[in-house]
Amino acid sequence: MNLSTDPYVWIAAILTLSVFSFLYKDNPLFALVEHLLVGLSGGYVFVIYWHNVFLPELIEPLVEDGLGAQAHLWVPVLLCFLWAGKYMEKTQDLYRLALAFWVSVDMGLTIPAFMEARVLSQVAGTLQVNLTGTWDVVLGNIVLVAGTVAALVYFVFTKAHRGIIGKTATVGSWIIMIGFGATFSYTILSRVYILIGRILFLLRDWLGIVT
Amino acid sequence: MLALAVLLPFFAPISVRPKAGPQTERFLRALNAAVERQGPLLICVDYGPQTMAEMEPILVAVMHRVFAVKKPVVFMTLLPEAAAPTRRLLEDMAAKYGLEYGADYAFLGYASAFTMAINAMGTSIEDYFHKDDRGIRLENLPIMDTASRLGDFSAVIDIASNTMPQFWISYGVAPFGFEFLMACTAVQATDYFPYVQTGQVDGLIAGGRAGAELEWLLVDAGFLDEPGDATRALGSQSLAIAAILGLIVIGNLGHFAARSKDKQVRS
Repeated sequence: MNLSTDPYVWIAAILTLSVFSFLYKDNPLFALVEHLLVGLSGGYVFVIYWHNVFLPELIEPLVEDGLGAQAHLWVPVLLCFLWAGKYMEKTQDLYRLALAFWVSVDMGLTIPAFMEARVLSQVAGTLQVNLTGTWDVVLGNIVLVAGTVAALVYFVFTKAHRGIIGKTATVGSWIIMIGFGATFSYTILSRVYILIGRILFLLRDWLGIVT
Repeated sequence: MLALAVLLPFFAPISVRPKAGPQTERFLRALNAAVERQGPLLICVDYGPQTMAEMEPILVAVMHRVFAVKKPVVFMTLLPEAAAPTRRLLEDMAAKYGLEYGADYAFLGYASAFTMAINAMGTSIEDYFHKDDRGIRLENLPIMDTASRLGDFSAVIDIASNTMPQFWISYGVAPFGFEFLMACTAVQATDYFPYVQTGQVDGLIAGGRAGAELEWLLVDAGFLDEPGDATRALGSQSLAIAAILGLIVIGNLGHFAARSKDKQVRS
């Protein structure tokens, strides 16, 4: 056993055990850690924003180059004040201007980018499958195309799910269920990793029982 | 029971050597090709402390591969909480491989407004990042001499436990067309497989298991002396999965037994 002498490791270990104490029942120690997490996260993110965004991108250029040299920097400053206007009764409608600006810029960027990357490329990728090669590759590609069509048919609600449409929709629902199953099993894998990470920290970094 | 299943393999190690899947082999091939090409690599670290156990071994394995041959690498993050762990890892790697900051590696720090950041970096990195994480202006970093936009990097690698790779694909790969590799948690694996199939992602490491496969491939190639934490976790992972499967079977048997007993009572 090679117990850690690092006070930060001890603090982390005690906080980890405090979180695990919730497995027994809700208790003040767990509540304390919960509050600590929220407070620290907020403070940490603020400091990162301050040092990586506000200081180098806004305040330093305005101070170093003169207040009028980079006039475009006053646009985000104005938008910030418009957002803050929401918290005063007399100016609360002003935030809508900032919101409109944000939504319009975001939509302009998002719609073409998402259409290209998530719709057109995906449709092209599904339609242009290669039906030559080894039998397992060809079978996989056929399952891909047939599975995509069947899953899409399941979401056709303007036609009654009877006859061929009904049968295809049933296959589609099975495909979707298999997809959910795969996602669920992957989720378990990830969640177990979180537990492994914490236990490894306690055993190796804190207690020094394992190397 | 789950805690016991996770704990036991640390005291009685279970030797697990995973067979590398085609996705992992494809990732390593793409990474090796990127290392050979001109231009530095760009690695974006987008995971926080909550997924460190799964993602950090993958990042460490990639770092060992690239720093073993002193490939210049520029790091950045789109997640505020990823900045501190990245700094710590870079200090360890710099000490191990004798790397010089600014020439062999650099950390640009946190980029806010990720959609704007990716979009702007497609045409000019200096238009977005004026200074790096240490406050050094980009024009004073030799590593940035040959990289003025995303297309100048030999590849962009996103190690992420969130939806950032989707934004890299939408705002970066689609309009600017560069080599893109990524690693994600197992939870996200099914979200990203379609992008590999369409060729929008050139290589994918999906979760800790694939991370362990990568470690073994790097051990075989001589870039790692021994497998790392991803492999180490596989013993616990295997036993935990076996325990969960056992509980699912027992639960189902119990359910059907109770239902059959209920039917008998009613009849």
